[in-house]
Amino acid sequence: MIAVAKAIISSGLEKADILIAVSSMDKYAELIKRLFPQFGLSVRFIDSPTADTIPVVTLLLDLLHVVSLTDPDWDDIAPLFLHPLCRPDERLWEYDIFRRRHPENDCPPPDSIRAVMKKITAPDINELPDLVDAFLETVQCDLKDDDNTVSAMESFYNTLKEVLRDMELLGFPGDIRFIYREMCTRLQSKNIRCKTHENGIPVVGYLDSLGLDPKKLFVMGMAEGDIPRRETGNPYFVPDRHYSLILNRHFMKNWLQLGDKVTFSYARHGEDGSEQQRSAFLEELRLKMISAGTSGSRRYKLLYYENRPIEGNFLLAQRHNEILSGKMDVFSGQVRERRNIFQIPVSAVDTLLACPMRFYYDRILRVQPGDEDESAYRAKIAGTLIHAVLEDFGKEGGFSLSEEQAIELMRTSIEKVFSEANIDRNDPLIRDRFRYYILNLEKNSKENCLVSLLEWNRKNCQITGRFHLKKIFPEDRCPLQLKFADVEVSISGIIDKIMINETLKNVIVSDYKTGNIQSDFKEYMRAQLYLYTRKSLEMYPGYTADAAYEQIKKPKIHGGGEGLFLYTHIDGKFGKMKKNGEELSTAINVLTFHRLLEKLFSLISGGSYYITDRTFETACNYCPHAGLCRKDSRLRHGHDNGPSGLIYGQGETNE
Amino acid sequence: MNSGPMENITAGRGEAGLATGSCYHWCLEYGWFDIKAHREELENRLREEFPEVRTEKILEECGILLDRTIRNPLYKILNDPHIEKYQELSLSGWLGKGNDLLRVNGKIDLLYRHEGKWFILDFKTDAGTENLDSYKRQIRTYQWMIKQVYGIDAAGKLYFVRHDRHIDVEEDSNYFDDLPQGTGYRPRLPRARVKAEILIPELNGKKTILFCPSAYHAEQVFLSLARQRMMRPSIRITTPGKWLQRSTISCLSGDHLRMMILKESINASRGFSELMAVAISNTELSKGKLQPEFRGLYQRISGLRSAAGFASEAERYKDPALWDLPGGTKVGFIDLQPPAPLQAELEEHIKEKTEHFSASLLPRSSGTNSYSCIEAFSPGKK
Repeated sequence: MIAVAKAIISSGLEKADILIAVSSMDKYAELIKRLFPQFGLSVRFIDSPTADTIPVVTLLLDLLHVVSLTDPDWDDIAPLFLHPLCRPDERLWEYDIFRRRHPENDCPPPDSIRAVMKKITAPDINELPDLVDAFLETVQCDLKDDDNTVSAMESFYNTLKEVLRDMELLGFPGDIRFIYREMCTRLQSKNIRCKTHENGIPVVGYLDSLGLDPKKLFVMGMAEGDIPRRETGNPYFVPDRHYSLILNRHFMKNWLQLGDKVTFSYARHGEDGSEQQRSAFLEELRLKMISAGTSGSRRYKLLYYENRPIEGNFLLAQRHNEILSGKMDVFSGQVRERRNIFQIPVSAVDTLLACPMRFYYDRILRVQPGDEDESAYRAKIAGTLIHAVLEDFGKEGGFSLSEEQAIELMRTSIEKVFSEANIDRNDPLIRDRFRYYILNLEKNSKENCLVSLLEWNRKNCQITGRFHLKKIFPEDRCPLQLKFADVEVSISGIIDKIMINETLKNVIVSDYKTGNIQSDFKEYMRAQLYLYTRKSLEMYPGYTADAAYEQIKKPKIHGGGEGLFLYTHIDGKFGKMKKNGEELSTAINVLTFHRLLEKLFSLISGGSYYITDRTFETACNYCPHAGLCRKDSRLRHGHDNGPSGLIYGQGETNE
Repeated sequence: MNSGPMENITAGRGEAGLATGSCYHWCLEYGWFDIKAHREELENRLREEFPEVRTEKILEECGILLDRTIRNPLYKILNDPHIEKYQELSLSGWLGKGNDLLRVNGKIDLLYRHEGKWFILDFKTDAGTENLDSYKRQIRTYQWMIKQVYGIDAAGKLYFVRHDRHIDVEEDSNYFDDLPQGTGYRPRLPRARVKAEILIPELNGKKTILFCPSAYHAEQVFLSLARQRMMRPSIRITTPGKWLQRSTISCLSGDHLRMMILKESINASRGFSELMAVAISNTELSKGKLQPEFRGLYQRISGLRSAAGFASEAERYKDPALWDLPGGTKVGFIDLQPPAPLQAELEEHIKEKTEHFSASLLPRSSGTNSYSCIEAFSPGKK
């Protein structure tokens, strides 16, 4: 689709000279409507929409459906009264949520709904048109006075009259359910008159492309099955000839006569991801293959604004204008101001290591993510709650209790934290979302993350009863100070748990992780844990410091205690401890790590930020600034061998 | 202004007024000035399109309006075979402003040439003249459309039949500034996607019917001819499917057929009725055969259909009205797709009865044997 849009732009032809023919409007119309305007291409469809796709008609069909039922329940009524055109109020939405949460509770709907329902129950079939009028008036539908709505309403009323007349003519009994189904069938094939933009590139079906001689014809959907199209399998009919094949051959004959004016296109994959074969009709042709290509989409997308600067003081407009001006400026990570002091949280060090450009957007430009990812937001809320439960549990001495007592205390902590957050633990949706923490909270359970966490702590940590929870080291008071040649970095952070072994003079700093961590980000996690150990050595002089991160997301992760990862220092390296307790698996060289940080901070202190040299795809995954970042800036600045490669290779330095 | 029975007629309002107006226009279109002779046809049409009105009352009113028309000099024009005239002439026009292009559709009641001058006339059955301004705008719209597509300068007239009054529509220099779409729009024809020059030698002023493969193709041929100032009201551009609608044979629709199957076949599902309706229709169109076990059902359906007074879709193709065209009519077949059997028969009948030609608007030879092909990853996004 995008490739076709690009080819249209590249052709340099005017819209009036181009024609697009598609094998199926159902398949392509929506995609074309959505994608082509992004490339500044307006299109117009020769086929007008069918009545059943217009909102007011869907509402009226819902009404007929409700009327056709003898004893409709809320599931039947809800689509009608919650239809946007009925402007449902807050109370109705709340009622709907309540009914879905408590399907067993047969609480009656609000009075206003019952009043309408009384009016629309089981009328005589000839009263249906009046009933529709009365309903629209009663619920005061938000009907627009546009041509499409008016045509669709007309189409609905006329079809209803036709159905009633036909039923009378053919002697059908007055069954409203039959009328509803008949209306659904007929409205699917009723096209409505609607206004079109005459100036867009016309999109037509294959049949409408016959005999036309545009300057350029793009034939989309040249995939086997779409052309030649399979004969429709009607089990009650034996065709004399293969009409589809004859017609499809005729299409090809027509198009080939246009010579190089025609460009065929097909997709290797269908919308559902299934493989598609190129049409056999193309097999015998000499084809100049044009690859979809991946570069230059920004150049094409700029055409959406016709390459003009946009007025406005918002980031996307500023970025657009920067690209248009041809400058490598703010959005390319170029700042003139020099910084010698950085005050950052420990997570920002991770960000810096992951991608200096992301650090730049987060910490320097302080850009808020444009779109909040709902799933990420929910995960964040869940993480905060579980952290709070473990904090409360720890404060009450839970880690020192016997297993039974600890589990009982964990239940109390969950109840307390959830109730403070006003979250109903008995809500089926909440129970499902927190199932790995709330359910099966019993001794020896393998299905509960918190039980597993208690087990690891007992098995792996030599706890003597002293520990600190949620140890905060803010940036303005006792931060972790890192000093490089001409840069000073103050790092703040929150350590979830510090376990202190007085006998061995050892502390273990621990961090809870309730989410997924990408495999490459686990590497950066080591940096965070390393910095925590640095801080704990300051806080507990004379002690050795190890670290752990405890991943509590799903029970299956924890098979064999895999959710607990212990990190330690051996021979100037810091890394994950192997089971024998002496060797390290992937580790960072502490000296090299410090050099890397020094190099990174000296680079960015000069005002030059750049994208990490990891492959773009990985670097930009989940990056909230991917929509703003100018991904080409790295190449322009020649950071071809980014410094992050110094230590994150095969687990060891490759300096 | 005449007086008489008109005073007793209630003002045409709402559904009844609309029905009277429509009935009057049908009579003008088909030349049914003797309402008694065509009462049945009119009643059927009224019942179909205005089921809620009393047909008797409408026909009575319509009769009075027709009497008034017969006494008017217009009647002579309507019945004079030597006067070039076009009734119920559908046409489109285009307005442009910058990159915007608007299409305007309309239907002219009567376009005629009298003493070398063209006239656009619209019949109005209103009781009053309160809508006069909007009717004048309507006529002015027709005027620029006629000029744009046919190159004809026509004078505009309104005929208020209830009052037996003719009103000339004068020019309005502010017309294009007062368009509801906004100012700045002027007539502008879009570019055509066919080159119809090849048809020009065939268009010799006679009545011509051009059959095109699709409605879109027909529109493009129309545009191409209009741009070359070769389009005339005597040229009708249509498709074989649309031409079939001219048949006056009452045919059973696909919906009726489906409903009959549902009624006749016990426990028939909706899916079955839909497929069976297509199978029966295709069988009647000689595209193949119905599976033998369903022939009993088909016979019952045929019986019911005949009893209800409907013909099969196939019978429409055999309606002489489709090929018995006025003398001197010329028919052109342009780039048509291979026809189904009955359509082939219809085409043969037309060819036998009329002067005809076939043409292709496609380039004769592409001169290339290499074609471009885009291979994309998916129809959506990469």
